Amino acid sequence: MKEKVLFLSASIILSVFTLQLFYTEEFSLISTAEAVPTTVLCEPTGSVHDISMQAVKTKQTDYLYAYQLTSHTMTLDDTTTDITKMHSLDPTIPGPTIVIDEGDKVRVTVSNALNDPSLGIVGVHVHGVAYDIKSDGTLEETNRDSDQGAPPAYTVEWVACKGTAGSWPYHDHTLMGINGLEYRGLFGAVIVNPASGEINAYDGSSQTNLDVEDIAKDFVVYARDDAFWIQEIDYNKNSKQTPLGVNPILTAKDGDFVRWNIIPLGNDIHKFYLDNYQWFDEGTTNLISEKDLGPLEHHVFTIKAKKGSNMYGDDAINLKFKKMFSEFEGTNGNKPSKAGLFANLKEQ
Amino acid sequence: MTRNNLFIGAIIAAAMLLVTVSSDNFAYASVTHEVELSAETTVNGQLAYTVTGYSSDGLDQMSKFTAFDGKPSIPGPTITIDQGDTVQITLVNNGLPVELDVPGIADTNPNVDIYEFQIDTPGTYIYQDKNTPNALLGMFGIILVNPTDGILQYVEQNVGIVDDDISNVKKDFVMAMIGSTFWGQEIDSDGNQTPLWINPLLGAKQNDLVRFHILSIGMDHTFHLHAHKWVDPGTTSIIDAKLLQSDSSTHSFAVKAGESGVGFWQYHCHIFAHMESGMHGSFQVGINDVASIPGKSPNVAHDAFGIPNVAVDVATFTVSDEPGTWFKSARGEALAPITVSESLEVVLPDSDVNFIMTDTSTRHTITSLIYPEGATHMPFDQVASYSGGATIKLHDPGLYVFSCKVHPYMFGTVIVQDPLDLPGGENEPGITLGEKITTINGIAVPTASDLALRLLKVFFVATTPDNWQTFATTDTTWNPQYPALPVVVYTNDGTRLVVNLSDTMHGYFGDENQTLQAVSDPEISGVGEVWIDTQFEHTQNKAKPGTATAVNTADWTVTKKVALPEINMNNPHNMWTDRNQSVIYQTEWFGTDLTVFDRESGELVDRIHVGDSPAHVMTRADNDDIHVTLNGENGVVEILPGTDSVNRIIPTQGPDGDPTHPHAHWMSSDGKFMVTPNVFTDDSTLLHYPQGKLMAKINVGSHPIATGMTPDDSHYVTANFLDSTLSVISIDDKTKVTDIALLADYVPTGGLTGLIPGGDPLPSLLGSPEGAPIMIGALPIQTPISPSLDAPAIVTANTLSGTLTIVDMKDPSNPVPVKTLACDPGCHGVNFGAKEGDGYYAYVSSKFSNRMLVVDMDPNNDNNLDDARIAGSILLVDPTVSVSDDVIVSNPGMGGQGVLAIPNIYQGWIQKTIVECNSPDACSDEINGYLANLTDEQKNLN
Repeated sequence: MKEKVLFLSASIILSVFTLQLFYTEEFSLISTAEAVPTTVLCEPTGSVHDISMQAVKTKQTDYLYAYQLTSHTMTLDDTTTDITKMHSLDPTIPGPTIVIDEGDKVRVTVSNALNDPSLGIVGVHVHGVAYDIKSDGTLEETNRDSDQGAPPAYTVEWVACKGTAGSWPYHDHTLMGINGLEYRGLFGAVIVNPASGEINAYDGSSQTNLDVEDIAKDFVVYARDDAFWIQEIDYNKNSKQTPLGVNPILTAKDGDFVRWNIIPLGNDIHKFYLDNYQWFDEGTTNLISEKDLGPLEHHVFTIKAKKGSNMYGDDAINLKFKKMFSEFEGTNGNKPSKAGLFANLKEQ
Repeated sequence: MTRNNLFIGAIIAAAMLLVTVSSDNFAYASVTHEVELSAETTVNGQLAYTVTGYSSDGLDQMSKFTAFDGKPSIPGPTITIDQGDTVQITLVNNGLPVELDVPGIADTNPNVDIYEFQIDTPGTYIYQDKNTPNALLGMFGIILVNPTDGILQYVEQNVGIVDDDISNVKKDFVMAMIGSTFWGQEIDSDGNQTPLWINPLLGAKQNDLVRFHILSIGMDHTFHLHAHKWVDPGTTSIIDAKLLQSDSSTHSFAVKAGESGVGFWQYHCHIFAHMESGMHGSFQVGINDVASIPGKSPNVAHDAFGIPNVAVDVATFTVSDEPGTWFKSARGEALAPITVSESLEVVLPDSDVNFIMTDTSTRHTITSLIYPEGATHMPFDQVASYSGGATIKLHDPGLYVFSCKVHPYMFGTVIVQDPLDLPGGENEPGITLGEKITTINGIAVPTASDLALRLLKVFFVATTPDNWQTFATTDTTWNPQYPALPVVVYTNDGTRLVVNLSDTMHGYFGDENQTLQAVSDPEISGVGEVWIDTQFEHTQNKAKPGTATAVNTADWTVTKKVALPEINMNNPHNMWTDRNQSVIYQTEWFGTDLTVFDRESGELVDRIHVGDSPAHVMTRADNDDIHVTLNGENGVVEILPGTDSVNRIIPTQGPDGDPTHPHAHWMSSDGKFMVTPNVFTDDSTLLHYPQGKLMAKINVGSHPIATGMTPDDSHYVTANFLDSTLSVISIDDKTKVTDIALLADYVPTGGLTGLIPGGDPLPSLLGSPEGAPIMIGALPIQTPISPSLDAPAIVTANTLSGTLTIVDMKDPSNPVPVKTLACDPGCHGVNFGAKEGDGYYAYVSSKFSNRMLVVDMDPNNDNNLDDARIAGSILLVDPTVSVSDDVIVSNPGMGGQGVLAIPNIYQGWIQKTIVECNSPDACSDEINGYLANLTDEQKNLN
């Protein structure tokens, strides 16, 4: 029956359409014009972020490399603000988190301070936000355009067009060949806050609509093959980014909303869990307490911290034995998160 | 113009009204699609479906498959239906043992060869062979179920999620993720289907609406496409990477091509090992439409040398746990009459080589061990072992040998034939072996050289069980087969030769009808028993290979064979025992378990999941904790005695360091230190147990695979498999003291010119009794140090040269090689047991022979090792064995790897055993009997 109605409506519409023709002088049902390519990227409507970072070897490990932020300015209309101090100025794993709004434009200039020509060029390849072929961050062998890495310093441009809200990885895609050395520590995150400012959260008993400004902390949680590597952004401390290293103890004030941004990278499939919490599976109304994730997927959720210590970790069978877990503690006061190994890296 | 349009429009509208009014169930008639599939073998040996009939609602649709050319296709034909429709598939099996399945949807037709599925929920569904290895070889396709409302969603740049109509889709791309390979197919807007084969270039016009249908079978993948985003179905989440998890999984999405610009946008699996093993291609978006470019087809083969279809465009190897044919050409059985080995393929330049782990139970790598010097894209390798496959395009002519870094006797060989070497050209024709080959650790030699021939011999022996050595109580004859084909080789001075490979090999090695001398027992007995993992023996009641064989050293008879068919024990590799010698701890190297069985009865006690590729097992002398190296991962598991699960994993590197993949570790006699040889990272980890600390990570040589420790715990040794060196490391100083060059006297080119005169120099060199030993030990494996406090000796088994190297370690900072003895092809395992009266024997196992060697390091007991000799050899075959849980059906006595003597007489362990067994009833009568036979020195209770 429904189908009949549909068809009837369609036929009426068609009739109206053809009647319209009667009043149109020049019209053809078949368009013969050549398709015009859309403008490459959408017009940015927000701030322009200029970010410089370099890739370095670290003193603390001889097997990991890291991105190190050197400057970050933000320009809106004619005002430029230097927000470099928001970041850690040391090399960090994950690298500097780029927090922007939908509508913003980002220019990232990457330099090579690895001091090792045998490694080749280092670059940055991003997921999610819009970029054109010159900002793919790959080798010419892949993009058939150019080798997009440093040296010399290479700049990529991204625009957080509408529809890119979310948390996305960036990583090297050029060192030692077309795959890059992402697993050596050269990865980080871009957090694109929605233009609407609306965040979907679960407060422990019901769904709640937050504003981005209600988020007290962001945890950027990279799930690597052996351990979690985490960076915290504290919005009560002027958006300060603090590297927390390997399997840190994370804290948040009881009652605060915290956003978890989980990105796996490497070879393993993960089963992320956070004991005694539930959250919305992204883009659904389903409440879950664990999630299967594979490399370079992302999983973001916002919850309300509650008093007490609970485990977060990885329950995938081969990772359980590796003790890939730690604690998330909801505290009374402002107890800081407790960093793990490799939180304090220095350039070699 | 407009009047005509008005007229047409009015007619259409009237017609629609007429039809709507006149029909009852107009727009919703469930359609039946009748598909006939023929199960076939492609010319390269893969399995696939050929579509031989297709009709929808009675209307023939075979014109949509014109591009398939009546041939098999991978993926099979896409069956596009609307939700609620029925698909009826008739499968013509052509004698193949096939059965069709659509995971998750029930077959409602009782007929064995006709399958019927009604699918009510929109989405993509895999149809495949029920047997996963067959599916992985190519028997799969999709049923694409479109929603009745015809709506799809995509992400519009700068807008977000937008609805559109399926009828606007310009192209559908079906991309199957199989192993580490994409198999593609394109469907145009008229429904015409075109195979795109391996890692194709997908083409589209900017702004066109295109759909991707991703499917995966048998393994996990994450699909990622550069510069595009799409809706995660069933959610409002926008993504650019998606997990497809295990067994059979699908993911479909729509994008506007080139949403942020034209270009070559890479698609790939984002699991790093899959990226490294070739799982990527390009999605090219242009201002105008771009035609997709297919990869090579598995249906194409070329005749050469009078052999039809000898060279294929897609050479496919399956990977499994099967002795000999670990890497097997998909058409290996058909090729074997010509190639002898089923692990050898021939292709033309720029063909695709495709590996797929069809029947494996743990992780592997696919690594180029040998390749033409200077070949592009070589070496091919991965940082970590994984489950998957590989896709490689080989460009330069010559010889390529692939191996697994975890299990380094898995071999697959591809010869890329130089067209200039084909018949009809200027040069005398022959199969191209090339000018120079290089090994992955940088040794380059001409193809007419001692090393090249020796490597070829190892390949043809290892991969062909018929070429293994069968000894007996009388003399036997060994006649290994090589392909009787003309091959093109080059000498040291660049001369091009065409020789018959079989004649050349036989002539050089003298192994045509070579006599194998009868085995003979050593004159002096051992004390107790010795266990050998006869890893390649096949038994009647299990699919996986391997048994543990026990020999009574009093009379040298085989007394036990433990196969454990009830758990399908998979490739038992190495053993240890508990303090009272009551159980055997057994690693299953091609699986993920440590198995425990009763030493006397052979009965299963436990099977403990430990992790990927457990290689070696030892206990901690001071507390009997069990340690197993995870050769497919990056640590050592610890199991507390008497428990049945892993207590913890001890990492052998820092967090997220390149995974070491340790093989054969060792522990100090006081239980304080553990040392691991880190195969993948060319170093060695020194761990301090009580502190739980990684003390040092010391660089050694290429592919360190085994270790040994001096009885005083002061030094340890690593066997560097590819470099053919031993590294000696001081534990106190945590530094390498020296390297021993096992090949110091070896000239890889053999100093050869012309057609290799004189033949294999090795036997005569081994015969020389006086003076300093000739150092020829290639590819060392196990390298333990004897427990003798007065005359500790390293005994190293060198698998390529078939030699044992004995090194005097009285002064560990100054090791002195004293002897080189002959062992069998693939000699591998060494372990020490007490010799009756005093001293120790070294028991030596070999993979490609059916016997064990008994080595006496010091026959005259004067602490001088220059009289070291082979005391005897023991067959590992005995039909009258008293304890046995299955029947040997093939490879009898073969595959010798792990060795363990009972009682376990190493310093630190033996003392604890004696104390333990002093308590009444703590140890069995048999063990107490063995212990009573030990001398005071062997007990070393001081």
